Amino acid sequence: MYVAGMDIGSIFSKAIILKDGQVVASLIKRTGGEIKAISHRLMEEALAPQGLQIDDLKSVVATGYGRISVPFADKQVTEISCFGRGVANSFPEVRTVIDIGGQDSKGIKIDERGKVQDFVMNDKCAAGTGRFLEVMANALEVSLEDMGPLALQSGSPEEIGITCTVFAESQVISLVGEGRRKVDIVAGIHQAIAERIHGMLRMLRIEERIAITGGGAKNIGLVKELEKRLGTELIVPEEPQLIGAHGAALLALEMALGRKGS
Amino acid sequence: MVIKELMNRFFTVVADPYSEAKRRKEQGQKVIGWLPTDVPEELIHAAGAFPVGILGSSNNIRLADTHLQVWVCSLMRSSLEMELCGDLDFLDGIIIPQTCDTTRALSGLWRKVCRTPYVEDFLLPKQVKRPSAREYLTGELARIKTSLEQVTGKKISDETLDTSIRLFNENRQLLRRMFEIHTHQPGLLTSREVYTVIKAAMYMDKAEHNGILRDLIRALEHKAAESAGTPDSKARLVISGGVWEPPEIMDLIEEAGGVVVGDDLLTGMRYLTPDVDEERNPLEALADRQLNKIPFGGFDNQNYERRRFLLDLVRNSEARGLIFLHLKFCEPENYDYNDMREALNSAGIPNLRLETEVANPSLGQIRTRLEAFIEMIGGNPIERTL
Repeated sequence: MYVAGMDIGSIFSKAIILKDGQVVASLIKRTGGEIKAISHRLMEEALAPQGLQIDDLKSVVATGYGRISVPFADKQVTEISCFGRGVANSFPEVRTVIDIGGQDSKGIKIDERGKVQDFVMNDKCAAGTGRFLEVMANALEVSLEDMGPLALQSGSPEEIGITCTVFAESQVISLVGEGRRKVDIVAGIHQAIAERIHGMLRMLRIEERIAITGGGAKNIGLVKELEKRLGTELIVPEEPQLIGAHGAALLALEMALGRKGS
Repeated sequence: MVIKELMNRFFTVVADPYSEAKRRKEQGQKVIGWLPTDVPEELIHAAGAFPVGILGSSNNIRLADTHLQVWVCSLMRSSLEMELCGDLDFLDGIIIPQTCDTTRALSGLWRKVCRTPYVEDFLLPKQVKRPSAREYLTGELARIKTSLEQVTGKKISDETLDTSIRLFNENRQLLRRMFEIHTHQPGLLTSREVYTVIKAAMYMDKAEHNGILRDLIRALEHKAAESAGTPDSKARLVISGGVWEPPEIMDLIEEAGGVVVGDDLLTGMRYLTPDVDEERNPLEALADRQLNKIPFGGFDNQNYERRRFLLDLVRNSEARGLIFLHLKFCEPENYDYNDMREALNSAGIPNLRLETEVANPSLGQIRTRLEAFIEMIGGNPIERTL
């Protein structure tokens, strides 16, 4: 029996196919343009190697900010519930999930089954999100992938204020103009984001262990800065961006098996 | 069908809130506006003027930003914007209650930059538990009474004030009855409908509002008897905060599978409770109503602490969780928040904070938070059709 989970994020869309509960296919693609069309294309592409079509799926759960626009989804569930479910499947010992996505960052408290106990989410502001990193990478003409490793090379990070993405960008441009070292600016940016996210997490009663998911988890500089502030090692899943889609797929499986979704 | 028709009247009022005020003005009656919250409308009514609430609008804020910084709450910025745009030119006067730093500063600003001919303050006592509070407040109400008499040229006798008090008490009682029916059978009216009826009361003639509301209650009671025993699967929620802004949040709550069964909002329970004692000296009785109002960020209650109040409210309304609906930059609410959240957490009551603005809805993230919260506490969402 095949089921699927789809996570339509603000920057990336992800799909996961389960066959009898096991992952048989996954795909990550940039979101952009019309979501209905993208979700179709993405799912068809993920299914093609299996020789399957959307109609062959017993159940589909959609999540992410674009979840309401996936025409073939049987149910929409928020990414908060899906990330909880996805993390608990691989790491039942995790009690707190930090998710750093394109336009949102979140802190999620979960129980051993992945059921959400409490959560916090950033305000309508890009500071402290993936988008912030992207804007800074562009301003510095550094690729997004290089940002994290570059941050680790600095011995004396610059002080960057992070009240606002737009202000921080002009501050970064000024620092470049003053001839400051790129690695120090990049390190400062990571400190600022980590500070912002840590401030948000303090609204929760953080419990260990802590996992980090979403595109932000692929940034080693950010992970290290957060670990410093939290005083503990973070669990980084192998494919941190796919956790939400995996959680959605697991909820789809529960639906297909007739169990009540969480 | 009857319920729908009656509701249409209230929706029409809220969509075009000042048509009645303007009609009164054309007929030669004075129109006195009030800003939230707690202005004693009974005094305005007894002075022969038409009281009307000024509660911001969904229009963008442009002109007000010349006078108020963006870190002032959008409810007050939007209300000032309405005046500066000329939307409040029908006002003969306005009473500004000093409930926070912003309203205090706004009072002077309104006199300076607005065209409203008559601007009066309502200076509320903060320390409501002190014995001197009642004496002070009675005196303040007497001062406003004299001030209104001067501007309308009409003396307010105890008898006319008593008549106004009875009319407004009846309105509160009817609104509470509607709310009670709603909490027993949340399916009859949507949360948006319930609060639209309450908001309409702030713009309409109270006698007219009472008349339609009486018909609505009759229709609801009839329908309730018909559909008694229908199981209700929605997640019952209490809302704590200032105003229902943006109002679309009510729809989002229902779409996510929730229903509002209790609140401490300025545009909710704070407006409908308590009544004014009709047997006593009217000014003293009005003062007592003020001192016995439910707690909010600006004022505590004489004998009810806000933390305990919220816990009791959640329990008594059999709610599964509480949502804080805070206007961005509402300092009284923001200062209270951590204390309230801690009290709820200790009592094991799930809670969520939404920060919103008048005239600037960003509903995508709010929807995600609401849905996640209701997924967390359990509830059956309405099937969404694409």
